[in-house]
Amino acid sequence: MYKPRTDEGVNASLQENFAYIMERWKSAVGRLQEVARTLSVHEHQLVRYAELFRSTEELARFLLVDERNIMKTIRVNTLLTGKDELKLRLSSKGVKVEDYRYLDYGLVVTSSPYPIGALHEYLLGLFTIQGPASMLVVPALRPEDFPRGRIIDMCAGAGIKTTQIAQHAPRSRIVAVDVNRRKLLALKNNAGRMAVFNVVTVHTDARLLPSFYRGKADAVLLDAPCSGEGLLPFPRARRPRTFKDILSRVALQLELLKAGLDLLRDGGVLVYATCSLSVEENEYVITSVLEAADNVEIEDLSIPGLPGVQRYGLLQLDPRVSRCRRLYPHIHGTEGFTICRLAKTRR
Amino acid sequence: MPPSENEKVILQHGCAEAEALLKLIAGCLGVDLALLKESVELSCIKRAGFVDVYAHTRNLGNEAELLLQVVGKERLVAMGVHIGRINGRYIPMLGFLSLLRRIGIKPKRGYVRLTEGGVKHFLYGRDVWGESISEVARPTENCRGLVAVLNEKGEPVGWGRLQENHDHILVQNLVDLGWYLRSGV
Repeated sequence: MYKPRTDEGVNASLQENFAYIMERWKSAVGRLQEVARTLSVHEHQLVRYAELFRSTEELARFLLVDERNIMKTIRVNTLLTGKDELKLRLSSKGVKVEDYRYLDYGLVVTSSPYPIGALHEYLLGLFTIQGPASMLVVPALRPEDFPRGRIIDMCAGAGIKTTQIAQHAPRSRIVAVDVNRRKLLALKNNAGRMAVFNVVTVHTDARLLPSFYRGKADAVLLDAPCSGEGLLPFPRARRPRTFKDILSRVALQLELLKAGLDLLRDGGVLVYATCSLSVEENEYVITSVLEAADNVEIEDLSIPGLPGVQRYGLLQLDPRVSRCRRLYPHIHGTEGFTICRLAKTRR
Repeated sequence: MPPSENEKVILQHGCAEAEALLKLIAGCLGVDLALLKESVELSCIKRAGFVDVYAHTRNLGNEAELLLQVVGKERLVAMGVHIGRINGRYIPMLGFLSLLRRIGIKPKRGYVRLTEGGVKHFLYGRDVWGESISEVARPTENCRGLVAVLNEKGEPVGWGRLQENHDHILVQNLVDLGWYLRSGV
């Protein structure tokens, strides 16, 4: 059974670690302050990422990636069409695409005379627009292992990953939940456009679900609300994040992950993912759960990415977090993402 | 539109209204009703003045019923795909067209096929007429001119109402796939 740390415990260990990192890197990152100001990056982010990379040179490479360096990807809706058929249709309209090397039903758009989201093929639900790292999250869950199972998408938002789950398991029962009703209306539209018939969409807080679904889910996707720091290459997502901003996300992420694990039956799996490269929001959250639960294991992933981080400042994280995967804009050409797969072991 | 959270909502599986809507629209398009019925289950979400009809996979109805007993039926946003609404009249939604595409069946009657230019106009929410219409297959009389609007490949891109007089054919735009962009959500 999971025993959560107190908020005070979380805050104390992370704050102590942050103070150490600040002290260690504050002067070294000074020369990057001007770049950081231009990119709306807070000094707190600079020092945290300097510690992550342990190199100001790599930090500079990371900061200077812009959206043109990130692959523009679309996901073929295999419920309605095949990749080759879609490639032919797009080609006839002058849209140039290449296979996406990390996923067999993904395509990279290299040039298009039209906005991709205005193409008739998009309106017909033959594809959807999805980031190159984002579309690796559902394959990490492997919904096809639960063809008629119950799969819960805890923070479903507009349902981009929900509809991808349906591609992997079109006869499963998908329960999609979010606290934002407007986003769920977008999910309803996306399910309609993409002909997804196996999702029930409910407006509620996923943290309440264990009161009903405790131990009853085969698989859970927790695409957790996060700082969004992995989207730094995109000007629209740039805003300074203080360390306090990160702490507030960590507290929510721990609560959601605890609820997600409570939902799983023995032998069930949960994928925890964030569009953040922050160690606090990822390996730290996972380590906290592993410390408090004796029946949770991290599983290996067959998706690309660098291993999860085991040491970060003063924090010694659980060595098993190395099985998580990190995708970096300046290394992989994707938005920044961290993905971990947890399994509830049988007692 | 889903129910607002302070409205009384009734969720019902296999409701008679849903069956009636499916039968009527399938009849208008000349598609195999039995095939539609064996592909999906239907549920109704009823509220004052409206019945929204959803099509979903077979095991989803019970799942929703159980879940909503706990969180409250007013919390339900959708189940499967919204295929129609009944408010005194039977109104097919875009989701009905998704159902046809997913199963892979094409209308045998009750459709118009548009030229490429006609499709562009139609997807901007406009009515189309004249040379933009390349083929007309009239629906039965009880359909009051309801037609599926198809592109050149025969894929449905919306619903229209066929209006004809002796030298003029017009397809009034009822709803088109461009709505997914224009709706703003």
